Amino acid sequence: MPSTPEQYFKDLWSTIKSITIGLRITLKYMFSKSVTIDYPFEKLAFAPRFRGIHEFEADKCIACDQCAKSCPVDCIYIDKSAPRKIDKKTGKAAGGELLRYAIDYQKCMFCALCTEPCPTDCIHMGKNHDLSSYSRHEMIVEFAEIDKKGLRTPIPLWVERNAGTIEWVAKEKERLEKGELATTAADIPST
Amino acid sequence: MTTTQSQTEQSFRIQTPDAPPEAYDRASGDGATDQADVKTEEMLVNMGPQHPSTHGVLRVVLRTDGEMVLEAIPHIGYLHRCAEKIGENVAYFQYIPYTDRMDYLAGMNENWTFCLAAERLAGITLPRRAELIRIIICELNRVASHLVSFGTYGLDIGAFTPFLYAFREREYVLDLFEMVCGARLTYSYFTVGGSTHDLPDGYTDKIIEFLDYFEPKIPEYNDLLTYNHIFIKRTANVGVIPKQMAIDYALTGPVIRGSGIAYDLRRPDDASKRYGLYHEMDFDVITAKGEMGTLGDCWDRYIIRMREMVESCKIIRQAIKMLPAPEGVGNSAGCYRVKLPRNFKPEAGEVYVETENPRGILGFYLESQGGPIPYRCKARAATFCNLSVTTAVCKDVLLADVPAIIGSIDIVMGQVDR
Repeated sequence: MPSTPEQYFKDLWSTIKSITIGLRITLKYMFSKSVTIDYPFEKLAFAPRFRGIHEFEADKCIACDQCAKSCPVDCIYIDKSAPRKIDKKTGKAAGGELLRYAIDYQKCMFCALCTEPCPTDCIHMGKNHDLSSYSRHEMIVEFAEIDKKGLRTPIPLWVERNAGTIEWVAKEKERLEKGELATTAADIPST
Repeated sequence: MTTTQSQTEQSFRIQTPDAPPEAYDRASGDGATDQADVKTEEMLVNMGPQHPSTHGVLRVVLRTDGEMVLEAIPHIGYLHRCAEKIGENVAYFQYIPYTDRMDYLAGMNENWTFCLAAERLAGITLPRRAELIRIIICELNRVASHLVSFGTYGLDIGAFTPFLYAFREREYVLDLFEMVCGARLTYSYFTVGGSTHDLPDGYTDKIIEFLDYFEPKIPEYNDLLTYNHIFIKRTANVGVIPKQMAIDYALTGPVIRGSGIAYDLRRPDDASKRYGLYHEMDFDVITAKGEMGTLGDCWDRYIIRMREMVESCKIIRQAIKMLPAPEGVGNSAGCYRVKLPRNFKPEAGEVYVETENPRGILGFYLESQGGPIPYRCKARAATFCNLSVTTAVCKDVLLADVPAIIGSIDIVMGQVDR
């Protein structure tokens, strides 16, 4: 509390002054272009290296367990019937069957340490950031099962729900169903 | 311990009468004397752990008498995740994502400290480009971290607008991080021996573009908040940490520099504490001068961060000029990463490395017994030590000043509890 009337009016004056300065800045931005994005209706641009939900190419996987070993939280589960090897003619893995390739997204922290040691570059970080589901067991994504449907990455719930109404989501769904990779060369670490 | 405590109390008491009359009036309860007909009694108030102005899950038990806080005791541990113990169970490169989650506002700096500790343990020296990439990215992260600190400090005081402006600029920094490593908060960009990726094409131009955009915004923040009369009234002469108290409580970072001590590990007195290539950079260590009131008050700690953002921009510009042309992986100057075996096993030994984080000094102690995982991993968290001063500062202050004091210390509970 100010002790003198002079101090009181001085304080009052500087308060009004600083509020005016602040409001002038706010007013300046009121008439400038908005920086926010109307997200579900406008597409978000992701950087090429964006680390989203994995994209997995089962036909290239030799089930060598390197990704599972480098995972800090042990969220990758791999099972095979016999050793797999890359066939040099086709570039696809042959030999035993890839019985299971699952990632538990309750544990996964998207550190991308699994993509680094992969000898055949079959696992990448995708561009989807949204994996909500109705129950816990749906969070464990069985990539080997998904591959039988021709998918590289699971189709998120929001894509299925909004494909009918939002144009870019419909395109995204089409891309996912075709099994096209969002991964570019920049995603693959050059070690 | 008892002697230092009594010393600090003494020095704290000596400071009080020197403070201007406004602060003194506040402490005596606005002229209320024993004759006042309102009788108050002491009450224990829990502030937190879900209180919006405690910056996370901090619980402060306040012993109050009316509006006066007689004592404030911080209770921590709500975000304890055994991060140090996890470090003793995973390989060196696997621990890097966990360091992100300590100080989640400055993940890059934490990555650097841990990687630096592992590199010192194994005796690896980095190529020049790798060192400069680290400086560029970490100083960008310092800007982002100080922006959050500045924005949320405004929120604590009751100013909502600066927060939105701060987050707008921070978003651009996060976009830059997304381009370089793919994540916006938990980066894990650095790895033992360099960084996981080289900078993308045209990245430095984008940083320069951001800096050109960002630097004129800082005077705007100053107009909005720093020199706002209400803000000065709320922060000047509040929560004074005298020089001696700052040293006694081992405070670091903007908190100790806010008390007028130029202690910054980027400019160490001792050459053995040097890290990175900061000794080649031209920048100033900012210290407070007590412009708006007593030296070491909340306003001083706040202004340090605002001025450090300018210095960080200076460092980034210099580092970009010094950056050698990219050459890939290897040992020559232009490489972003040293080639290391996947099975990284440093020789038996121990190392303790400290670096200057946005919130103070972060230290990592690592002990190796020659295996692929560390035998002991310990972090010295800056905010944990800085938080310890709360009890000493929040003595005989108004209840409304407690968020101002806690906000000015700028804690991140992820780092306090680890």
